[in-house]
Amino acid sequence: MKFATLGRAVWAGIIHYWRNIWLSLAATAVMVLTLAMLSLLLIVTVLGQNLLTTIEEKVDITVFMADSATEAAILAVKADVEGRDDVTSVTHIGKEQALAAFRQRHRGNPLIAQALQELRENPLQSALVIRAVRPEAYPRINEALTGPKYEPFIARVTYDDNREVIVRLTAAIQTIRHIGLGITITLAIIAILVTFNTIRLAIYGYHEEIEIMHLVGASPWFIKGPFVIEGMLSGGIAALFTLAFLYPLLRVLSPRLGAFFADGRFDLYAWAVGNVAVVVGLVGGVGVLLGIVSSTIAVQRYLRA
Amino acid sequence: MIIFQDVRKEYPKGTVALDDINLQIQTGEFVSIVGQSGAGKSTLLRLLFAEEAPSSGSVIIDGWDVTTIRPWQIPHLRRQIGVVFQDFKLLEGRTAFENVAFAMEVVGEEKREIRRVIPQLLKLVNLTDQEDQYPWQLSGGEQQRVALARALAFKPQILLADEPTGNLDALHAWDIVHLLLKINKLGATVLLASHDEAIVNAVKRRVVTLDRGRIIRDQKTGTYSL
Repeated sequence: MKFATLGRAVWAGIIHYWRNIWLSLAATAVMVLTLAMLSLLLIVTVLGQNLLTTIEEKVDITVFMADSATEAAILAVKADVEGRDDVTSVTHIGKEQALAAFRQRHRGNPLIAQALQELRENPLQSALVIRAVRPEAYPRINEALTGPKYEPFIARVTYDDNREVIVRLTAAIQTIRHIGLGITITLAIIAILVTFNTIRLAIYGYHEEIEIMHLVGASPWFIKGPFVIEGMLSGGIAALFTLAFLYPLLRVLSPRLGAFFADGRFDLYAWAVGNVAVVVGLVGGVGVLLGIVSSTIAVQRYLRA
Repeated sequence: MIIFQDVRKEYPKGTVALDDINLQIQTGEFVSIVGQSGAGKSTLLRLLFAEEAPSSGSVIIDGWDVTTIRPWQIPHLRRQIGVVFQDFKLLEGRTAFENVAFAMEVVGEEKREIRRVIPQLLKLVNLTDQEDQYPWQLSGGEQQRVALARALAFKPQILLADEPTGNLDALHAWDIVHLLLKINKLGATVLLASHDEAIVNAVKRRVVTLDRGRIIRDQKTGTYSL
């Protein structure tokens, strides 16, 4: 396309948008709804991922070390476990530390305090608290720890106590992820189809004009150009409106959403600001792309070459 | 030059619109195609600007063989032929000036040239004061004159007029016919499809008569008679 032709298409697209302002605004409004829906899906996905990560982070297994295990042996086991790809962190809690924590936890219970006093030595074992990258990794970690290599040093692994919870949680998280992805894709397709049909209906009003243009010798792209520009304009304006609402809304809702979904550890607004290129690119890109694709397909229908 | 050779046009349900059409039209001729409604006049013209393809035979217009034309070549063919329709086919959302300008933009004319030529074209069709009017603000005769100006924007060597006076009163109809004659006098070949007896008889040029898709008469200086 020559520069002059492109310039003509841009100008004609803008004029067309302006002269049919009510129809254009209606199409833009539907696109705002679509983009708002897609933004909402993005937010829900981000929050959902955080919620699942928060839940995953709460799952761990504790390895109680045998009393006979030396500090060096415990640290060697710790180093071994830390070296695994599927382990995020290993925290060593020594006997004294465990006792202090125990006392702190039961400081209002005189019976336990008295019992501890009567015992001559620290009854608690030193332990390693292991967090895996994904809950699915715990069975493998448990298998490795309960093998003959570590048998002399390890008294007990809590995996068996939590096995059912871990297995169920893992399955639930996977199901939620799949369903979430399915719902997101379905809603996104519905939103896109609604927009596509709105633009198609808007262009249907011009099908006679399109046919006339074709009859007087306009090439398909000469005809499509202004409609495509108009679609881009609708998408771009819709994206601007959506973003203008989205950020202030996130700023207001972020503390509440963060508290509910991620124990207050996730600031959605900060995430949206930090990922502004992704959010603007996604909303703007989807808006403009939707406008281009919908108008191109809609016009093509009336071009009988 | 326009050549129809053994042309037949048949629609899928078996309706024959044109049959055994053999016709030659020389450059600069003014030819009236006459016949009753459904005789095949419009179909004959539609074959010329590739709106339809013949079922058999060949149609050659200004060096283009419409029978073998590729889809991407059709816009190029149409930019060399001016077409005027009974229902004007103007772009409703554009002013008279913009409707004519569109035809010039299609061929990639510069804006300056468009601004220079359109007033001349609108003057030729007596619409100088109405260039900013939208089609719905113009009478039928004025709309047809805009359509004529648009058809002339290509500087075509061939002008096809499909019942251009069909929706007009007698006075406006004569305006259009006079313009067609003027355009013909300037050198363009004009094909006028019409069932208006008075107009065809007054023009006193070549008359090709169609009846049920066949040419039944071809007179050098003919009259309307069925």
